[in-house]
Amino acid sequence: MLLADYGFFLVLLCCITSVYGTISALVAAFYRHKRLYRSAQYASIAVGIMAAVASGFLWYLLFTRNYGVSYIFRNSSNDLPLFYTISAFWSSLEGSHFLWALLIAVYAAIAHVTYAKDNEHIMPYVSAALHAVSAWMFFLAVTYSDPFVLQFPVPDNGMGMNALLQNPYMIIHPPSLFTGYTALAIPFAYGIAALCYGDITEGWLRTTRRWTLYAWIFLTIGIFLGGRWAYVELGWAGYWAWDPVENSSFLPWLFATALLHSLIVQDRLGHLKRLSIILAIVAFFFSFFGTFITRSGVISSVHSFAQSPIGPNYLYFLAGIAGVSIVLYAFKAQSILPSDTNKVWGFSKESALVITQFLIITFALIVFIGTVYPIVSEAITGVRFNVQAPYFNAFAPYIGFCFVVAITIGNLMRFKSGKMVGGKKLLLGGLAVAAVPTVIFCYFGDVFRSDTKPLIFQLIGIELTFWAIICLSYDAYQRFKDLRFNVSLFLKRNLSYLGAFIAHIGFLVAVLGFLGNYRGMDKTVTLMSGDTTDLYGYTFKFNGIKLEQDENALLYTAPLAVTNQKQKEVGTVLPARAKYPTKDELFHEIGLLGSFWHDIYVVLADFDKDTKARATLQLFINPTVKIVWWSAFLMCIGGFLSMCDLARGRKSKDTLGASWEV
Amino acid sequence: MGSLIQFVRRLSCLCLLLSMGQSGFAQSTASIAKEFETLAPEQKILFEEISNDLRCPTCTGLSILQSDAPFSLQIRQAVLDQVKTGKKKPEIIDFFTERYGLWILREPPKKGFHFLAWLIPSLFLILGPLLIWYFVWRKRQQVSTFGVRPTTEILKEFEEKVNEQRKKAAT
Repeated sequence: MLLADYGFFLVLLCCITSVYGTISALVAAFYRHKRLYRSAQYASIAVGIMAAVASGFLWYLLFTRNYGVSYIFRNSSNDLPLFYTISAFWSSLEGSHFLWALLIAVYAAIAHVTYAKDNEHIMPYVSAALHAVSAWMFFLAVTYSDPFVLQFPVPDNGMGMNALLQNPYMIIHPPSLFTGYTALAIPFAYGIAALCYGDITEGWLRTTRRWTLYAWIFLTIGIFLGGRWAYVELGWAGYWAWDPVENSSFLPWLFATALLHSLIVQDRLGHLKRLSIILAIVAFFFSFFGTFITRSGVISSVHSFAQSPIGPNYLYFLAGIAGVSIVLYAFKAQSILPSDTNKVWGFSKESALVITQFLIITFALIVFIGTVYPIVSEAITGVRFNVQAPYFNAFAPYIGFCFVVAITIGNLMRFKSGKMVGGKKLLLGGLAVAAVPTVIFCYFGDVFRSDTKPLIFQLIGIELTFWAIICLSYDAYQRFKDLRFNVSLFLKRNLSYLGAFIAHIGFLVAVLGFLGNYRGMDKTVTLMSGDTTDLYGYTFKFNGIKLEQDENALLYTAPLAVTNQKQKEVGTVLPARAKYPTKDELFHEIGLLGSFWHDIYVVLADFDKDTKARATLQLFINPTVKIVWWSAFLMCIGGFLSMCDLARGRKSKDTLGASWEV
Repeated sequence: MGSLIQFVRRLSCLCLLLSMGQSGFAQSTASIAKEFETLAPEQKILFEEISNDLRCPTCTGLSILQSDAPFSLQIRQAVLDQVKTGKKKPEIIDFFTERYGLWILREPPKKGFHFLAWLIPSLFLILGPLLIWYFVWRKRQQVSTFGVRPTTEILKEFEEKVNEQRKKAAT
């Protein structure tokens, strides 16, 4: 009990310290007062440590099942396995909000310690922005969503965790997504600082780029894990439904991606500085927008596990960010000028990158329109119109097509030059060579098996994607050859390029995966014990419902023995329904089995509880889903390699020492 | 007036559901799947297309084809019945929007206010490259018509601009 009080006071102290930090950093910026800035810096470190200790308290209370704390009563129970007790921390509103605040405090502290020396002149502004954000988050954590609220009398058992969240992915998915969201606060703070200061230096670019990449990697992991969670938990055989919450995690990802591309132009040519600043601010804005949507319940979603009246407060904060940024931009942006590079734009890589920006931002606009459409249509026509997958799917293929072409052409071009690596010969030759992997992919991916959907677009898509992969690989080969195949030199000079190459290949592989599983097959059957059914060359044999105890859940499993065309045993797929002791309804447990090329995905739709001899099953064959998961690995490895690169942005000439006056 | 119409619509939708319930026909995933197998191939495609365009009223983000909620099973049965009568796709879609309102659709219809949701992204996609061309590439051409200037000159010009701005900021 006492620990909960200490926790609350620590959070309160975090809030007060952050407010102090904001004010002292602002004053330090105004008078260029060095020691006052140091004070703000130490305040940030203190907030980080206090938040970490408070979170340790919450975890300790969770592990000791202290139901005197209301949050713990509502989100755990005696039967909850140890494993899920970790994730009970963020399984509903207060805890996940606290996780947000904790992460932002920790990253702010790290950013305050690890900044580059040539950024010192803008650090007071950065500090003020970061402190302001964490002050607001901690303010909400003590007022609207306090995880340490006590209750009396103390119950014997908790209400139990939401069964949908009792999934291993829930241990990593929210923290990694939140890491991405909160790490974007640092590019945001640097963007605000650059506006306040009225100029950008090279050190700015290096730091912003590294933090954006860091956020981008974790957003990628978070989004893919969220997809994986939906795939194994929700039971409709898909992983991406263009659900509002999915969209709102996708928007910051898109803007972070756009920011990374505009930083390249800025690094090489000193152009697009203002665009970088705008994108840094917008990316963070949308990560908050996503949080607002998830929690406010303004737009309904399958991923909303944390609704409360906290919503409007996020809205005030969003309005605050937008207002401050717009005013700063309006007054200060004109002093941020491009470098004096003469020969830019025209037919060259920088133009290709501008086109990329345009595509990414357009895509974001479409996603945004679709996400907020329920509110807009309700305000104007009076009908709350939920835009769902078909709307997004009407645009996504064209944008994806443009992305593939832009990636290919853009990677083959060079800065400030109209030449292309390989030229027409490569583009046309690549198209011909791509036919070979296309045929292989169509054969193994079984693109031709389903007959309900048009085939031609998919074929064109696969061919183009392989064409892109071939062109990119050729370009990589050329770069490697230019350095006389010297590996260590290549890694030293071109590490960021290598990272970008792998990340682009990862994206293209993901596109292949999307194209492949567009043509899944499915079948719904009712089987009596001993019956068999066929789908796609596989034979499924049902042998009655079995009862099993798994951790805290009672499972009604319908084991299906699967044999392939050659009568060879493939394995047993185990679709089930789970009964949790604290919940009444039965939850889906998906049966999943498969090769590299396709998943066998089985849902136990209905079964006879008494005789245990009849089951209604939905069988799905989902081609190339595994390829989508693998692509996430590639993208993250690419991002990580790029982040390790120390060369980019190093050639800083205009190092401004901080001009402290006091 | 609008709300009255909406109320009547909702009422009629409720009546439709009640009448379905009273007919004593209990839909299940299995029974619909069995009936689906009896359709002609083109009817199967039509059924899947239409079911994919109608939303499950009680879930979020799913079509009636993807969900097994009782409500969406009823609508799925209704789609099946409509497909069997041999109607075309637009007629069947109209049948459902008349009963449930536009709300039942998963994408905005391409008419009235909802057309904007389609128009804005399309315009953006088509006009965007033109605007970029106008503001970025064309501007560069204009600069080059004055002849290529030496770098020092441009440097001087920018420095002047910067100094001007700094002065402005200082005062």
